[in-house]
Amino acid sequence: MEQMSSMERVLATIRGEETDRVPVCSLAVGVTRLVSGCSFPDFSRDSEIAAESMIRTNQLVGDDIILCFTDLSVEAADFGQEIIYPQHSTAYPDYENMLIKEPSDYGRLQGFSAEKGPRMSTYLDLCNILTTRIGQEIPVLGFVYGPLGVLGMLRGMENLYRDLLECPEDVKKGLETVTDVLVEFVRAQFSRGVAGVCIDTLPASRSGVSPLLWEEFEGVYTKKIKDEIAAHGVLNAHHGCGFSPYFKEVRKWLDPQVFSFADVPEDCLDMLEAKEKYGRDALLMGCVSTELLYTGTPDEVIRESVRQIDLLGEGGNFILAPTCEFPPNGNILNARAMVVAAQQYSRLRERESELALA
Amino acid sequence: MNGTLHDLQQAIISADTAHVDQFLENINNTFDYERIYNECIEPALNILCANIQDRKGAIPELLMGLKQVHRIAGATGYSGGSKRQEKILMGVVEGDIHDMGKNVIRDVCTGYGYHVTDLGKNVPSAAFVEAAEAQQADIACLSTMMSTTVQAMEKTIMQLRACRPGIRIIIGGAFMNQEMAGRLAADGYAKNASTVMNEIERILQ
Repeated sequence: MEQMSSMERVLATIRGEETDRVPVCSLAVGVTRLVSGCSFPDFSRDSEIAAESMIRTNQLVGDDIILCFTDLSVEAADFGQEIIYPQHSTAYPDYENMLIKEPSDYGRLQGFSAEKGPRMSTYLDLCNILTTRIGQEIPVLGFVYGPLGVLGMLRGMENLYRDLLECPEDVKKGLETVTDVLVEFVRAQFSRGVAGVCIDTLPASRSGVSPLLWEEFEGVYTKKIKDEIAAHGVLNAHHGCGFSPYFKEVRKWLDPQVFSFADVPEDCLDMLEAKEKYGRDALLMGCVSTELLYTGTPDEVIRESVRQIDLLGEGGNFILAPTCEFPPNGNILNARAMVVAAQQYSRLRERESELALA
Repeated sequence: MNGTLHDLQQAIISADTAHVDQFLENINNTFDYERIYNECIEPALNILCANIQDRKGAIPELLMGLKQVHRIAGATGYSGGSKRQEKILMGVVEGDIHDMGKNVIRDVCTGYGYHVTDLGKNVPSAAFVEAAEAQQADIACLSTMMSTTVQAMEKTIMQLRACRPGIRIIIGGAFMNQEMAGRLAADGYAKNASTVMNEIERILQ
């Protein structure tokens, strides 16, 4: 089959058509600063620097989708949360000084226009630069952290989890405010030309809250964001990298076209069942572990990538990707190794069969 | 008292603060903490942890149950550390400030009666070494959520092994797994707070 461009390959995969190879999304974000030589703080706060880092990394790695993402503190920062920007690590909230100090503070959260938030507007600039410079060839996927995750960055996840059970109505006031801002944030991303938006709902797994709590405290609210995405007709993707993700509940509320994930879904016995149950109607995206990408050799990553294509790629509807963001201090050669595995998949399979026979 | 203790066990599991309050008022300082622990706290914690493993519960329910355990211990003057011999040292390694998992595991270990020294977050390896020697720690629980701090984890493990050769080390955090535990020469890996007791028992055998 003739070689496709990244855009052709991704679009054909979404339409369920035949492709020249499995598309790859390296989820290279923080690690791209190593390619351009910039610092973590510059990468988080300067859209031009972040865009150049991502474009140059994409050219080096050769993957098919760029996730427009810098770190998880973007939304929280604009609500007024103090953020710490370490030189050698990802930005995070000042956990000694959380914006929401007590349950009554949830109701005091102030909504605002995403266009006017310093970090969100920088992020929107980044979307704009990426879509303008390479969006015709490489699909650029926007990103939004789910409402419960954002609230966790303002309250501290441990306190938030207690509040869900102790003062649910207070939490819901905060969720209303946050969700309104996030809906406008994704709307602003569409106006910058992103090909889709990925919603990250980390608590939708056994690493987070129970399925019922998730539906009540995030499913209901995140659906408003999903409805906005659906109304714009762009790709609706979901990311959740916790243990035993709640695909059934996520599908009920968000009905994503793409599931980016890290572990066997709660209602499946194994990945084969996950493919059968969810990978026929939606695209599955994964599942090369970030631990392997950090500690493994390119050879090991190629072998694991081939295994993942065997496991989840049968019949299409699959994007080869890490289980979460590519390790920010990882070896970028391992991102390239995933692309090589996709490019040489048939030859590598033949070679493995020959070795097995020998 | 049996019915009352069973009710208390249920109150811990369902995080029924009012019921726990009522119990504490009724016992009016005429309690036997050993009995409360054996018949209420340990079984309740076992159920809360099993619920996570059996997919019937999650971390918020465990946190709320632990809060009740903490209240009972506080009201009865129990300071912890009397149920188990082994001393546990724990902390988030240098460079990382995500401490929710470590905090839950600290409360689980304390709830099960271990003597726990919590060094907090962003802890330099030298502080782990100093505390391990001073406390004569038997077990170290090290946590990190990030890939940027794996080297700090490795360094801490090496230095702990050098200063206390018999120490057992368990690692945890989003970026950790059993294979990583092997690579970093840790004795065990706790996937989450619900499995840490099983892992401690396993590595102590």
